[in-house]
Amino acid sequence: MLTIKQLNKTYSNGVKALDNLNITVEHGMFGLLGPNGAGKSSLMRTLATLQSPDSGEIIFDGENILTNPQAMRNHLGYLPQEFGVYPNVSAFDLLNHFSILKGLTSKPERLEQVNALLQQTNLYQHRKKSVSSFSGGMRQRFGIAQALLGAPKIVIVDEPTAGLDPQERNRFHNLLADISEKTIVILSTHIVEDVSNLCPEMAIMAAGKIIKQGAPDLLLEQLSGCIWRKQISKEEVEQFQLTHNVISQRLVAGRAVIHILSDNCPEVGFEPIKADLEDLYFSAINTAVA
Amino acid sequence: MMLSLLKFEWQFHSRQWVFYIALFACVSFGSILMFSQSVDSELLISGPYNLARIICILAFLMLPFLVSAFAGNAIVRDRNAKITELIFSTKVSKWHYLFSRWLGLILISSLLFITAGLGMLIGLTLLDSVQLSIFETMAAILWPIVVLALPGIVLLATILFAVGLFSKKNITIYIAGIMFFSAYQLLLVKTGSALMANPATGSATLQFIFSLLDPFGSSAFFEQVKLWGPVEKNSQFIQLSGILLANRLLVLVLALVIFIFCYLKFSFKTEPKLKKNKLNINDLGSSKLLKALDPYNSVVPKIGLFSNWLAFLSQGKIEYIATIKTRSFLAILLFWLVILIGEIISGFVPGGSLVPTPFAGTMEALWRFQYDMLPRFMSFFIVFFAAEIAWREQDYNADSFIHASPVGNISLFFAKWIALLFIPLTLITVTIFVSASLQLIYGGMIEWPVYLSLYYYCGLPMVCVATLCLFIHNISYNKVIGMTISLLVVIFAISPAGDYIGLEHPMFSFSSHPLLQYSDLIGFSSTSDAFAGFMRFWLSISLVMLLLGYGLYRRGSMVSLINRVSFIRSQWGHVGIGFFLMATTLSSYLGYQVYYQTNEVAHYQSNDDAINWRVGYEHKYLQHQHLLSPTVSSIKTQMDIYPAQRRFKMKAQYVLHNPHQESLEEILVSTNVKVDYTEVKIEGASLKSYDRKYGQYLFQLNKPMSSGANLNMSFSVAQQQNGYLGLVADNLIVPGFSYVRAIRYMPFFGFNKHNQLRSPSLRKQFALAELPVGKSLEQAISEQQGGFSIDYDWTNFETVISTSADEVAISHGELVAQWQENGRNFYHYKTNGKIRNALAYLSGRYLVTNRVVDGVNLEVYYHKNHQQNVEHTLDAMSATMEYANQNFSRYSAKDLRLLEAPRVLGLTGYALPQVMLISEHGGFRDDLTNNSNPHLNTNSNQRSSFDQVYRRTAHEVAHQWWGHGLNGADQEGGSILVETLAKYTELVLLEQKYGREYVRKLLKHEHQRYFFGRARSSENELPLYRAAANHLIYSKGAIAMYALKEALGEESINKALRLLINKHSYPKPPATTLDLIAALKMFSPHAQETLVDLWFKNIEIDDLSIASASYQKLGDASYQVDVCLKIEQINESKLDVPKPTANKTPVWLGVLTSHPDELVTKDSDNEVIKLEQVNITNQEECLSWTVEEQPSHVAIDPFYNRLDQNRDNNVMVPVNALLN
Repeated sequence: MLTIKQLNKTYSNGVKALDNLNITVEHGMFGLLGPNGAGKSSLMRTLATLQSPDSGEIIFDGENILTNPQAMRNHLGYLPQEFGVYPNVSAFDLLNHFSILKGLTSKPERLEQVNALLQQTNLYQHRKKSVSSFSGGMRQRFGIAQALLGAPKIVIVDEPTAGLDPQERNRFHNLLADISEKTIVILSTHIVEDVSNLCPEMAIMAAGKIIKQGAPDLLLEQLSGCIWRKQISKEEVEQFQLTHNVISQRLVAGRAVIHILSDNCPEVGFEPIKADLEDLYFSAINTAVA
Repeated sequence: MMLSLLKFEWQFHSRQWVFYIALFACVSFGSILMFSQSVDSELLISGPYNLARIICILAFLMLPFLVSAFAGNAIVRDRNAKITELIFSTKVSKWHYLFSRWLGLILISSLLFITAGLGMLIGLTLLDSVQLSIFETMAAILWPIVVLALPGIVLLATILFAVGLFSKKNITIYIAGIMFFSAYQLLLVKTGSALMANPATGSATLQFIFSLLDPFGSSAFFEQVKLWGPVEKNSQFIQLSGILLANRLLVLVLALVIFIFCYLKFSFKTEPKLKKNKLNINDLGSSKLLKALDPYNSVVPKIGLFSNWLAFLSQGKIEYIATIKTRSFLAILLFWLVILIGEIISGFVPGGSLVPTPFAGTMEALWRFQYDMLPRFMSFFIVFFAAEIAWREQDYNADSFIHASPVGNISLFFAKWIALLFIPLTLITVTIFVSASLQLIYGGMIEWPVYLSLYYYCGLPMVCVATLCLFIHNISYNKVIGMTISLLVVIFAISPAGDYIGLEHPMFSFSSHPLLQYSDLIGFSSTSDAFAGFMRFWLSISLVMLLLGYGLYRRGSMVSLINRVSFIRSQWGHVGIGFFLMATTLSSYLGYQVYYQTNEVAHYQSNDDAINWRVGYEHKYLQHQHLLSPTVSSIKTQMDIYPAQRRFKMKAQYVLHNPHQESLEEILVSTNVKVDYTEVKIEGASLKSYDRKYGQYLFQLNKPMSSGANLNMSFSVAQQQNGYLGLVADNLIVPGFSYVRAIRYMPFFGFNKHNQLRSPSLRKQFALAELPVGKSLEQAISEQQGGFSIDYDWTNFETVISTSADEVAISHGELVAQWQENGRNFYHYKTNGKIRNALAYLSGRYLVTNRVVDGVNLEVYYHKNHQQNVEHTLDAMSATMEYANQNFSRYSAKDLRLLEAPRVLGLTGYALPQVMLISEHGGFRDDLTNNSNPHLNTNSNQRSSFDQVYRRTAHEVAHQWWGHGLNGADQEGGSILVETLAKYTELVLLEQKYGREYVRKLLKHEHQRYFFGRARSSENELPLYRAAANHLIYSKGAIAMYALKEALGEESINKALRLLINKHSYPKPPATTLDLIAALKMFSPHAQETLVDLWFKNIEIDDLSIASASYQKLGDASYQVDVCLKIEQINESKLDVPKPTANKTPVWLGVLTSHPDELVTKDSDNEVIKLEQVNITNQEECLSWTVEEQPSHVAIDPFYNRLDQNRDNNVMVPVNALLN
């Protein structure tokens, strides 16, 4: 179980990346949703013991990992948002090396797991090629593979599906779902769909603060009956934005479709729709910004 | 567009850290160089020559590093910032892009170099010993910068620009910069450039090529000023003409060509880096998606000591591959190999025109790289690679993986440390391999234990440097800062930079140690004790840094140093803390040991302290400068040498004698404070005062010592040595060889002039009176009407000298007795008359061979592996003894001993009374097998050897007459009577053995040395009879004496010398060069008397040349040879010496069957057909001869009887007149 208490971090350029964060994760997948710059990566890096906060506590399985980072590292699988690799080292060798770094001392066990992971991420037939020559998607899969080495009790993935095509994304989701049965998986992303597909628990983060946290169903229930939809012309959009709480607007077949947050029907022509995670997300962000 | 691009370049460059650091470095370096100039010669520090010379130094020392630092920013920055796609897809043209970057680099480098010139100006104004006119000085600084440095900057920048453009990596640029720097230095040494401290004579063809291609024009510059005296050097600017102009143009053209090449080859297309094993894009394996896969099974890791150990191995392997198996490292290795091979070969075959056969000993090889090149090379590369290794994860952006994994810091840190140590390990191993291979190829004996010891002597300091660099990087904010700090610290440690800011003490230079040089006789033992002590200390500090580096290991990002310091205790754990405390205690203790050995035992004194001591001495004791002092007429000592403990102790009894008319009431005894004096007593005198600081004993005589009276004196002295201040040349005690020269440590009477400061500028600074200007010879003679007897220092000598059981001890005089006592060897020596008071005590593990010649016991003491030339040495000693006995005077002692001395003493040969030292590399190791009989050997190659053994031995033996037989007065020209006459003896002995054609090689060598020395001299040349400079007393003297021998005849010269010795040997009054001149004149035919004056009192340099030569066959198998000559004379002497009467200049002319240089090397058929001295009346003259053989060459002055500044036009192949 992971408990984050009153975590704060302000960077030297004045940006407050973590603002009194409190989160608890018991097990399974936890989705962290938020726009770019919300502080998600800062939180991920802090959890991965690569950064220290200004104040606060992080307890994992009873250990305070800020004073004892080794307690986290021993059970951690981490996939950063951006990463590089050593040049001229093959995928197999590099993955093997990482498994050594993670403490897999028995060679046969190590080999078995490395091969399995290479297959799972569909890199097996490229295992002898140098990782620095991989395409973006392949590299991402490699990152996923190394995050799963060993027996991680907590897996932190930061924007994991960036650069993956739809097929790869699906397979990745399946993989994560498999492991989340026994481990905590913290999935940080700005792709709402990923969270809605996978996460039984989620939080929405913006400007360093958690603005919504809980099970998606329960959160959505709060919005039931409050999301309204209408198709309007492009010129009317601005006017609606002034008079109503427009939480999203998009183009459908050339015409503007807006979603509004309101307790009752705002006007003629609006139809109520069942709130989905995207609506939840936009409404939460808008409220936070407001 | 171009202008705004350039403006951007300026802004970009000037906003980097590197710019400010470079600015500071340039200005400081420029001004610091001014302070290191010696002020006391006739050459003005602010004169145009000297300023241009300093600009050359600044250029080659600073510019490679300066331009490398900015070249990366100029051209690789796009790739580093990953901004190439953005830039290359704009509409900037290739021309704009390349030219703006290139020009920007040149401009910024030039600007920074000019600030170095500004630094020079600042330095000059701060030197108050120099008077300046600001504008003239600015011009004198600016002109060489524009002419010499700027074109060099253009070429260097273009080269590095090209390297960066095509390699797209910073590290390649840095490596290219270092290679340029090393190669340039090497070329400076090989071409004998005046920029180097101890220039050798270089190869002429290499010199020519270098003058044309030298980027900084230093070679052409020195060529232009070769014949300038101090007057020209202080006022004239260098001319843009001749070779210098050609060189400048060539450099610029070369730069242009490289730039054009870059332009043509470069393209904006950036293809993705596709490696050999590039993936097949179709092969994404989507079809395999749904097949059954191996299930994912988690594996529980076992984190602990074993996992960290495995991680260390695995990470170490990766670091190793990423460092060593790269093209950059391979390039470095290749470069080092090229330099190393060149250096070692030139060590086997020393250059100059006296080439002995190659001798491929391990010692010869080691001397080319072990103590300077290899350590410096390794240090620089460790500095660069430490940066790469320390920041590798960050550079590749792979740090998140590694740092988030459970691997301990200990594995990561030590993996990097080990990887960094691979660099010196690899370099040393490669060096050993190459050196041994070369030895094998050249037929030498490989000494593996010595090579293996290089890991200890060269490797340990590198361990310290590597640890230091890694530590610095760990606490630095980023890679650039880390590299800059490491570079500064390492430069500080290996250069004398620390001396300028008062941090002179060796303990301030990290990883430094006293100079370690190898000798076959004593190995490294002259300083190996100090090396071990220093290394223990530096290693313990490295241990501390290792612990700190590990404790402060930077994991993750943005973990500030302060943060990490607070975590250090938890990082270390109890074990780590314990280690840390132990390490710090250990290094304090070891540091104290080093301090004690350096300061207390070795009596270290900083430069300032030494100067202040001298000033203090003079202030206090100058009052006694006219105190009359006794001389020493008899010395008896008991000297005990303990080689294994590196110490000696001595008990001495002196007999003092009063040679003055007046009687003495006080005696001032001056002793050396660096040895321990005890029980200094003078009979019938009481100690009035003892000054411990200056080692002065002032005795008050109970009864005045009357004129001619004798008095006994006794004292004890002891010394404990170590190698902590390096080797003191005449005071070395190590197992295998000990040499203690008395003059350094024995008491001196009266005011000790040796303790005075000599430098006029320093004396002025400390308000000391100017030293009395050395009197000219004539002045001194007129003042000292009774002759110079009063300066005599001859004494009877007797000693009982003891040493360890495996060594033999040697001193002056006859070996009266020898015995063993208490497991030590004792020897009793006694002279049978007075000898010059230049005494020494020697001991060594020697074998001895002897021969009795003319009733004299000649002995050679040598190392057991060096016996091949001992018989030949004895031959030389015998021949010289016989010749000198017959022609000069009878050698009065019963013994003459020659000892082999270790090379590290720094002398080639040294003559003491009845004892001579010759260095192991000065003749004992030469390969003479190809030299045994030059006239019978038909193999042309073999004849190129020169018999250095014979030459040096004859020279040193000759000193028993010239120096220890004939007394020269201690006045101007005194050295002539010692060295020039020894050179003469050497020449006649060689001629006696090998003939005149052979001796010609030596004369050619001396002739070259004279001109070389003249070009480098900062003083106006003195006429020979007053001379003291080496190139005059050895080289010019040799030519002079040989020329006189040819003109007057050997017998006449010898008669003159015999007269001189008879008239002026002890106890008769000493001789001066005027006496020599008079003696020579006495035995020369009247017509030749002026020749003696010309050589000794005149300074004349000729340019003799053959304008044309032809021959035709006459009917009766003879040939007529017609030659036209040209004579030019430059007369520099200030004396008004009358030219030869009738204006005839005698000159030798020869007709030969080969080039004079081939006389000894080719077939013995080569000979001189005709050699005649002709009198030339006019500057141009033609004459005709008839000869019996077909001539192939005509030569003017073929046997080096004149000083001819241009020898290229002295030999000509005559044309067949009938064919024209």
